[in-house]
Amino acid sequence: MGALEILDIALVVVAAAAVLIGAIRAVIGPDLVDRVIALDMLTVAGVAFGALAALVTGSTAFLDVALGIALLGFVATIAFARMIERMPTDADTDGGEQG
Amino acid sequence: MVILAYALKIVGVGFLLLAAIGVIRLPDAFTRMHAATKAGTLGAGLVVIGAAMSLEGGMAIAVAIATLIILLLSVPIASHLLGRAAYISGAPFWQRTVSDALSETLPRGEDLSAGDRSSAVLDVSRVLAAPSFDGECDATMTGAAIGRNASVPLTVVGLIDPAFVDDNPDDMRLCRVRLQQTLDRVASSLDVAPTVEMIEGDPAAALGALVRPDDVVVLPAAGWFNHGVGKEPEAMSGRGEALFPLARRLTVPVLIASAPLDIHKITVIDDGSERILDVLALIAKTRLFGDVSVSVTWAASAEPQPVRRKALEEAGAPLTVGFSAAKSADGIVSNPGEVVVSASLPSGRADWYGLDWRDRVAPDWRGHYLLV
Repeated sequence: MGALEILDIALVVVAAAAVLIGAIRAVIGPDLVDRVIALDMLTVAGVAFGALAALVTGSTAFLDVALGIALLGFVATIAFARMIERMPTDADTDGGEQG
Repeated sequence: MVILAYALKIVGVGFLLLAAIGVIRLPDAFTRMHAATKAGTLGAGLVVIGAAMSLEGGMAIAVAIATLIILLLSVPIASHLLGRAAYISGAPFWQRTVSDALSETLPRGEDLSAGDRSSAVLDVSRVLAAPSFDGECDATMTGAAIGRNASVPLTVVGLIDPAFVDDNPDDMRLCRVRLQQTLDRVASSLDVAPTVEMIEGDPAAALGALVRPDDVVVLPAAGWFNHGVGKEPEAMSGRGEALFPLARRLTVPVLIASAPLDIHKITVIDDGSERILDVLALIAKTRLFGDVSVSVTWAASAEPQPVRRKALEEAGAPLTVGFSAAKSADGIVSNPGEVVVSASLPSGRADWYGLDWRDRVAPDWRGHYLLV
């Protein structure tokens, strides 16, 4: 049983690595769209993270957290998508090189 | 049951990691979104199923199933909206993007990957010509000819796109030597002495930095990104594939040159814009293509009215401007001249499984295409 618990923790570590990599993209952008895409990926990773946390801690409350993240992430992404769509020009763009 | 649960969780976390790597490594917003959505949903979904199987208690399993259903319902919708927003906001495409299926469906904002042609100065004070890499001199010969017609100097640009060369110093060196040989041969075959430039880098950025607003750029119809050294990109032929994206990103008139030929007639595809009138006036003033006759054609939906016809005739004076028939429904020009002048490129890719894009102008037509 000890081995399986270690495996669970290893899975959490790998999921944390995925969250970290996604967070790098959210920080470096370069556009707002790229950041929101990274955020979208982070919410999905957060759901998986919550499910794994429920296993490691044995507390099913983390499953509710996962459910909450899934619901909230959907709303957040849609709100960001609407906002980006309505922005007059892409003022956040600083990384695209002009030919 | 336990083994299955762990297998699901391990595979799920693996997909999650793949999604993260995709988000950090892929080159543009659209490809990143594709990685985040598909791999991410599958990964998180598998992890949640695995967790539900490991947990005890009906309530926990119910919550896990609800989470899974919400994930499967919401993530595709959210990502679809996000992709739509990215497109509309004008997120730049990867420089090797070859087709844009939404171009006539969705409005696109300020597109950093396409040059704004409407505001560009229209004049000719220099011709930039790029020889193709395997030594075909079509573009330079044509560039020299139009430079002579308009009495403007010619610059020959040799370009190495590092994306098509292996990360190998020997290949790069071989590439430079070959390009130098090509440039020497090109320079010696012309009766005018051109300025020679050799540049390395992303074609659009490198050439864009060199181009002045009053240049005309001449590119070889076959493209010149095949360096004959190192890697042959599999997904792209490396021949004409990069040609259209490059031509679109430049803001000056781009002449896509076929083999040198005597020009007697040019065909102008009229779209009703001022730009076409300006270009016609420029061609008439500078005699870019010599003393030619001008034939005007148009899309069936944009037949020029008498006022427009008069404007075209005045712009083209003293060249004789005639009016032929509309293009066919699939965009084929009937009886085109040696040069076709248009504000847009033929639809689709430059090189589609060996089919030549010039066949989409008119079957077996092999003239020059001036994108203005």
